[in-house]
Amino acid sequence: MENTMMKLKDLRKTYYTKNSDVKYEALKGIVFDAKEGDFIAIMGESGSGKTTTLNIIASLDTPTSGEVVIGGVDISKMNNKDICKFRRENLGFVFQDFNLLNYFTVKDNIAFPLVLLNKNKKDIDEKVSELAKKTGITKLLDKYPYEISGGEKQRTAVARALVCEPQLVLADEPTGALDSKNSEQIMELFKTFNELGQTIIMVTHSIKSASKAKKVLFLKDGMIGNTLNKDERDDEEFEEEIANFLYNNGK
Amino acid sequence: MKQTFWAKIAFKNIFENKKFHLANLIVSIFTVTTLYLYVFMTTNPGLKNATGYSVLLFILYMGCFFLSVVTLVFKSYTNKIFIKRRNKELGLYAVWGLESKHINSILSFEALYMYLASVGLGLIIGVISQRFIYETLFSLMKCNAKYQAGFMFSNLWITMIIIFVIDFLILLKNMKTIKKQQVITLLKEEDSNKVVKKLKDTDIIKGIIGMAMIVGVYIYVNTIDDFLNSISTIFVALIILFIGSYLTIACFIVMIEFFLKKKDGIYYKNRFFTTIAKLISKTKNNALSLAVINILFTCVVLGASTTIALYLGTDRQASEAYKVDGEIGTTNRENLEKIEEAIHGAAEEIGVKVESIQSCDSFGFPTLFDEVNGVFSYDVKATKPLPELVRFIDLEDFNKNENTNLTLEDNETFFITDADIKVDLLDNLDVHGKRLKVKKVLQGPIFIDIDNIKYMYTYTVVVKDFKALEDIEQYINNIGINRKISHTISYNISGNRSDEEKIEKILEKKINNIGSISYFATNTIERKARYERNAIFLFLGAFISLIFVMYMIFIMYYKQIQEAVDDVGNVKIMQKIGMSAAEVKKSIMAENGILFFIPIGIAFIHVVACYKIICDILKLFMLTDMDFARICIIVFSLAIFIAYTIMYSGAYKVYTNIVLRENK
Repeated sequence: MENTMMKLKDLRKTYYTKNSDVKYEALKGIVFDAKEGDFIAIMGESGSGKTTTLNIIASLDTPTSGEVVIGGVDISKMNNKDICKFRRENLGFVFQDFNLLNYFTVKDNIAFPLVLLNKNKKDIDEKVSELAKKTGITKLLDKYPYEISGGEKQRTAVARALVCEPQLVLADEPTGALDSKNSEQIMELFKTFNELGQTIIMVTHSIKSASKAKKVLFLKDGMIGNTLNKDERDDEEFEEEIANFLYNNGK
Repeated sequence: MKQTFWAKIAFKNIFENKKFHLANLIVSIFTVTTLYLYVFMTTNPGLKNATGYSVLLFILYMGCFFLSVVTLVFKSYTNKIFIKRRNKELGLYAVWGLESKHINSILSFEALYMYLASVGLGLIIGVISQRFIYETLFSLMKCNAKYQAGFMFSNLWITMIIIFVIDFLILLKNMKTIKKQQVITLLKEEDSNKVVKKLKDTDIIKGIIGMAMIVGVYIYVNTIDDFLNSISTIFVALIILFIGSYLTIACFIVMIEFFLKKKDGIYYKNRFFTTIAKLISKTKNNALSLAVINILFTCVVLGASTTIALYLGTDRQASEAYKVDGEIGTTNRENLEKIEEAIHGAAEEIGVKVESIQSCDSFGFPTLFDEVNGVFSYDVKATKPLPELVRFIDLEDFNKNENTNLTLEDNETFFITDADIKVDLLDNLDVHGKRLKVKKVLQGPIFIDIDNIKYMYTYTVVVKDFKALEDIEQYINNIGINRKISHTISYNISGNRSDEEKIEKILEKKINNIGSISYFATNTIERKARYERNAIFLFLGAFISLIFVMYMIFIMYYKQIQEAVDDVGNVKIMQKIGMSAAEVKKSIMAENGILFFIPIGIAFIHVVACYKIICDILKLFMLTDMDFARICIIVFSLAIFIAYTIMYSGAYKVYTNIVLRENK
């Protein structure tokens, strides 16, 4: 039986406007589990709460109430120092705008999380080479982010997200800034790593990208509306089902 | 469109960007106040009561001129970094359809508001503080000059015109820059985080040249023999030193940073990783500002510590200038006895003892000396950098003053020189045709041994007696050199400074009755004159140093805000990856700390290496107590280092507040 990797328990997030009593409920009780080796896509309209959910899972934001349990640890109760430690040891991030540091080479960008974990140079070199090979960017290691294409940047970001062997990889619109060919390649990468056992949670607008996942959660007005499981279907069949679902439910 | 519209936009711009304009305004106000006070000092009739009025006036005029030039240079520089940051905003105006004349109107109104605010407030502060500043200066000068109340509109006008010219020149430059650039260039935001990818070969060469320039200047300033004649060369050396500092910061320091980056054992450590990577770009991109801070800091330490040492060491200088309490010169030898009696009489009147009294006759004139043949003549080739003077004294005076018991035969002489030449084997002297036998070459210097800057080379010839001295006088006059034997009498009395002042007043009256007095100089007169001059130096040095410090703070404050705004995105990424706020702060502290302390580290090395020059400047003003000077320099350097560290911690707080607040 697969172990539960992450649990979201009645997650709520309310924003208050400054100097007034006007409040906005971004999340209204999100509940879902992710098992080890899961690949979950979260879809929904703008303002449905996708990114808020992901930011709370990523510990970049705090919930108003509810719990986020990752690997048996409730991270919503942690202090800042422990959250940073937890984040660098257990989470990997891939963002729409890559979030690479321009003053580092591709190699140093990938190595950054390992350096934060005080790994020795030999381990850093081994892990970076391994990930660069898997993501197909070995030849780019000495280049700077502004010298490579968008697709290559995102591969670098994927390599950086995976270099610490995190429990969970969180991706926020990873193909949002890429053309279709590069998007396909990035999603294939995600799929490959997921097949190797990596748990991934991804927020996306793209049906094609979502079709690579094993499960799709549809968020509407801060709540999970529906869930689609891929099961034994292939990518194309699943893509069609997601498309039909969105068409029938008015997105 | 109506000008009032542009005037409103300009006002709104300044208000919206008050964070940047406020720092600029504070520096400008202080500059206006200082300039006004300098002009006020120069024109206030109260200064006329000071002893060396014309010299003091000249120093103050030079201060006004120097301050105006400094203001123009630094205002231009700070404006340059300021306008670069505004390129995008000005580009947007062009996109919205504003013509360059409209943009010029906005810039002109902005400049006008800043001018009016800085001149208005600066002059108000100046007028309010003028009496206090003036009286403080007079009390420092320890002179009888009194503040004379009175308000002169001309002082206000002069200050306003100087600042107007400076601001107008800068405005014209801005208009020209905007006109020359295309809209698309303006729209590209200035990125102070431009990444420095690799070290170019030219950078290595430039770095080595920079270091070589610095080392070359250090060697030069430490091997100068003739300080006075080398002043213009020293000035060139200082410029080379600053160019060298810029190249060292921009290239050599970056070379070291690249070297550290290549050392895996250092670079891939958590505490160095981001610091080294960011420092490379930051050092390179900020090299000019760092070099400017280096120059300012070096100038502040050199200028302020020198003027402070000079002022605090005024008594020392006065006693060095006159080792004796007083010296009186007369053209009539027969009056020497009367003068001696006057000294004794004056001492008796105030109840002190005359501890020593010595007279000396001497005859001297400028000449040229050929040391190989022992010839004094205007026909020999001038080979020495300083003027040469030959001086004749008689043996009796020499023995008295030097406490010796030497003897000479007719036409025999002793020869002494302070020039660094070989004359040990000299047997004869030829003084413009008159031959004299050298009995022995004695080791100098004689009479007064002051470790002072050399103004000239002196050759002393000791002749048998006063008659021999008269013979030489006559011979020299016959060949057309008209000089007279001078007779001086020097004295030391017991008692304190107040007794010295009393005896000076009494003696002045007494010797005036004797007549034929060529000069009367005392330690007290010397002290007064030096206090007046040194106080003016201190006043100018302190205010100009303060302006330098303010510009330093302004440049750093501005750069910190600029860097922090550019770094917000990077910090956001670092935090997402798992860097804690504490780690981010640590990294910023290291980066900024290194960047802050590079220029002052180099400045302190400059000061230590140029210590000989500082000593020479102080010696020029007769401050020969180098231990005292060293204490002044060290104490002042420590004080300014502490002030700079406080500035650093303030700038660090501003930086972390910006980057971390934005990420909350």
